[in-house]
Amino acid sequence: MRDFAFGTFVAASAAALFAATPAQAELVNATNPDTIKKIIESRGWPATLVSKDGDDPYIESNRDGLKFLVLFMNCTENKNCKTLQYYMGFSDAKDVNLERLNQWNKEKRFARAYRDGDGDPVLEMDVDLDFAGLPRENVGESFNTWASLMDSYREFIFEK
Amino acid sequence: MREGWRRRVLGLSLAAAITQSAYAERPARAAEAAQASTGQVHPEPHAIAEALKAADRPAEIKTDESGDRYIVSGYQDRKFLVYFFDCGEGVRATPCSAIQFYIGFTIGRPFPLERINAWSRDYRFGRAYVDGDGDAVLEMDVNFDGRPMSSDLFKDNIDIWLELMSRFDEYVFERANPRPSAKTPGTGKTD
Repeated sequence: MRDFAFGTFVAASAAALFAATPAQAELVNATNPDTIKKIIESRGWPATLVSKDGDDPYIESNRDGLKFLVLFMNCTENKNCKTLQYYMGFSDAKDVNLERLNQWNKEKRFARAYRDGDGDPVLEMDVDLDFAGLPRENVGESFNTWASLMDSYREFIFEK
Repeated sequence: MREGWRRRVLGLSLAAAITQSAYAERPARAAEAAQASTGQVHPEPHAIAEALKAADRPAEIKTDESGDRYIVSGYQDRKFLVYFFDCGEGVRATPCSAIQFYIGFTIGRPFPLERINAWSRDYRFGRAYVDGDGDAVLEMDVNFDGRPMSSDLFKDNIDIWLELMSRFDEYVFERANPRPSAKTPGTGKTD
C-alpha cells in the first residue's frame, strides 16, 4: 500500500470515496444454514445441508472433484451459529512433510494447512459471521477465495 | 481424515473452545454493541487504527521503507502489527482488500515444526508457521474485499486475535500445551 500524501489528506479523500458506498449492504450471518447453502449453490456447486439432532449443522459440497465441508460453529444448541469453517483434506497424501506444510502457511493467506492425526494434509479457513455478519458479496467472495486456495493446495500437495 | 471430519462435525476443535470462552463475556458487549451497531469500519489504516483504539488497544500508523503503511499495536506487553493488502496506490486512497494481524516470537532456536503443526490443528482463525529465522509466527487474515465491516464484527475479530495471540504466546513459551481433551469427541465444547 502506498500513498503520496499526508495522513489528513488521505483520511479526507478516503472519507469522500467511502461516502459513495451504499450505507446498507445486505448482511449475511450464519444463523440460517440455508442462506449459506444458497450462496454456495449460486457459485454453481452442489450443496447438501446435513443437520442431525444433537450436532451442529454442516454443508457438504464439491467443486472440480474436490470435496469440502462448510461447518457451522459456535452454535447454541446447534442453532444460531456464529462462525463458519471451510474444511478439506486429502487421504492419499500421507507422505507430505511438515516442512512443506509450513511453507504453505508462510506463503499463503486466509487458509491454514496442517497434518491431522491420521497423517492427512488438511486445509481450513475460518470466517467470523457473528452479529449481523458480512455483506452478502463478501460471503460469496470468501467461497471464491476458498476455491482458489483449494486448487492451489491440490497442486501444492501433489506437485512432485 | 474421515474421522477428522466426524470430529469436526461434532463441533470440537479447540478453537471452538477459544471463541466459546471469548463469547462468555458476550452479554455485556452485546448490549454495548446494540447501541453502536450502525458503525462501520473501513479497510484503511486510519479507520482500523480508530477501531483498535476503541477496543482500548494502542495504534500507531507507520510507514515502511517501500511506503506501505502498517499499524503497531499491542496487548499484554506484547507488540503486534497490522498489515494492509491490495490497497489502491497513487494520490487517491482506496480501500484495501484485506488486513493481517501479525506477531512473531524469537526463542533463540528453530521452533519445532511438530509443535507448530499441533497448534494449527487445534486452533482456528490464525495461521502459524516457522519463518526463515526459525521464529514462531502467527498471522490472522481478515478479508474485507474492499467493503466496510460492521464495527461489532470487526471488534469481534480483534477479540479473537487478542485471545489467539495470547494463547500462542503461552504455547510458544511452553506455559501451555494443546489440550488433548479438545480432540476427544464430546469434551471439546466447554473446555
